[in-house]
Amino acid sequence: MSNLEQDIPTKRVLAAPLRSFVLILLFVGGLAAFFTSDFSPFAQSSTQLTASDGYQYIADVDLWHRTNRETEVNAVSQFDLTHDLNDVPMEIGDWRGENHPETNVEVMILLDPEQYVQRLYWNSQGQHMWLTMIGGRSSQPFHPPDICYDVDGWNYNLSSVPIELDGGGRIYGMWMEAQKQLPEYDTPTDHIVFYFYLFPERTRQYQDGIVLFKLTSARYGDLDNTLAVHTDFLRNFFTEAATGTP
Amino acid sequence: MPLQSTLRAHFTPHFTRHAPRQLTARRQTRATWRNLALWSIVLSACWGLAACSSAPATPTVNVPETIVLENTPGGTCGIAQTAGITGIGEMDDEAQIRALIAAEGQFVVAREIGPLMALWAEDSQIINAKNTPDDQRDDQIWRGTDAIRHRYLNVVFPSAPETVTAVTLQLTLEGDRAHGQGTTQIGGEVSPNGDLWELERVDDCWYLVRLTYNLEPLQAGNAQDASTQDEAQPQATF
Repeated sequence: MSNLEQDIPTKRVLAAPLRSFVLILLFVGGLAAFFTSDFSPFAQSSTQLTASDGYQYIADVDLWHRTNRETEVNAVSQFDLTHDLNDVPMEIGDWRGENHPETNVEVMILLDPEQYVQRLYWNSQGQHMWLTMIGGRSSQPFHPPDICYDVDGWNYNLSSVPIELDGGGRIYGMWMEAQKQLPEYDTPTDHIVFYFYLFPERTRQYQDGIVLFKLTSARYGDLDNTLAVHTDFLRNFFTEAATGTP
Repeated sequence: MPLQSTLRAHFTPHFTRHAPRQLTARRQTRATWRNLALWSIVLSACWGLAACSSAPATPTVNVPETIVLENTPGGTCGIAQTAGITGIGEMDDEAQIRALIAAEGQFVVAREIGPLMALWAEDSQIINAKNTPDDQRDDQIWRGTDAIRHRYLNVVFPSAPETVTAVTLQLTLEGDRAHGQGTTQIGGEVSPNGDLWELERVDDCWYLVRLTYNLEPLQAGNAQDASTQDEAQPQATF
């Protein structure tokens, strides 16, 4: 028997456990990949929200372009056009609201929104917050709020700010500090605006309905303090955002 | 050939070719587990493929995707690819900066938001000095890339010019920072010495960090025109 023939059984003996090890490794790896993938029905990624947490929407700072601020958020109420935006709670947390329907007919003709809800909320400290929700299924009802302020002669600065939510994650919105000297007042009037867009689906199709969620308040002390008031208001409506987003 | 048949054709010969003619019970059990393991992997792969093919299509009509350039270098390190500027690596700092500012104009004309935003540093600003360079109280500021993107998309692009040309640009370099004031011709509009560009070098790439425009003081005639224009603006409040 040649050396070669003697070696073959030895090699086979060594190769069998190695093959088994590789196969088991592949098996475990395959299972791990399957159960942790987004396609797995058992996937429970920490970056995804579950239906039991509330109502899920996609929030973004821009309507036209998907930005890296896009995130999935949980809401305590339904902010989509298959539901009446008037059902959004009038009393929530420390805030009590009242409806202030838009009386400017030109606005309604120009925007032609499917839904338009405008409310004034007050908290126990006497601070107020305007909530405007505009819903539509075309581009017509939507334009950046700063465009109107610009046309109306307000001076403004624009940036974006994140608001941390109680359940984790954050919502980014555009943040506008607008000021104008109105003739009826001795000092300039400040408007602080925070807004973002809500989509029912990640595909962001107009026909699914889009809602502009806009907060407007006076300036309460400095801008940090004003942001804290906006944060307090917003956290009542939105509880959690997907983590892992910027 | 259906996927399942293809996979079976691929895997089955491997088992028959190497299977011994007489298997012990232990070997049979091991072989069964081996088969199970491989088929689990195969089924997992099939599940993934099916899920991919049924994933919702990326919207193309309503939401133009922002071009993601995460893996592309930004600033001057990216314009060789995005603006087609060759030999950027061999240019000196001044030439690189001039190419970067020219690329900004090029992308505005082409309305290419992705490459345009890659020119800017994260904490950058655009400031409208409103023709009162000595009075900053009336300045209008877009802070950060979200606001700058917003300005391009909603203010600049709807009336984007057909040409943007830096007529003059006086550059000053101080280490990793640079600034340059000059005249830009935007379409038919010329703002004499009205633009101040500020840049910063990070990891050997120059980025835009601030643009201040409308720095040229208004002439008396122009001021009157502007005033008249203001009064004519509608009082929209929505």
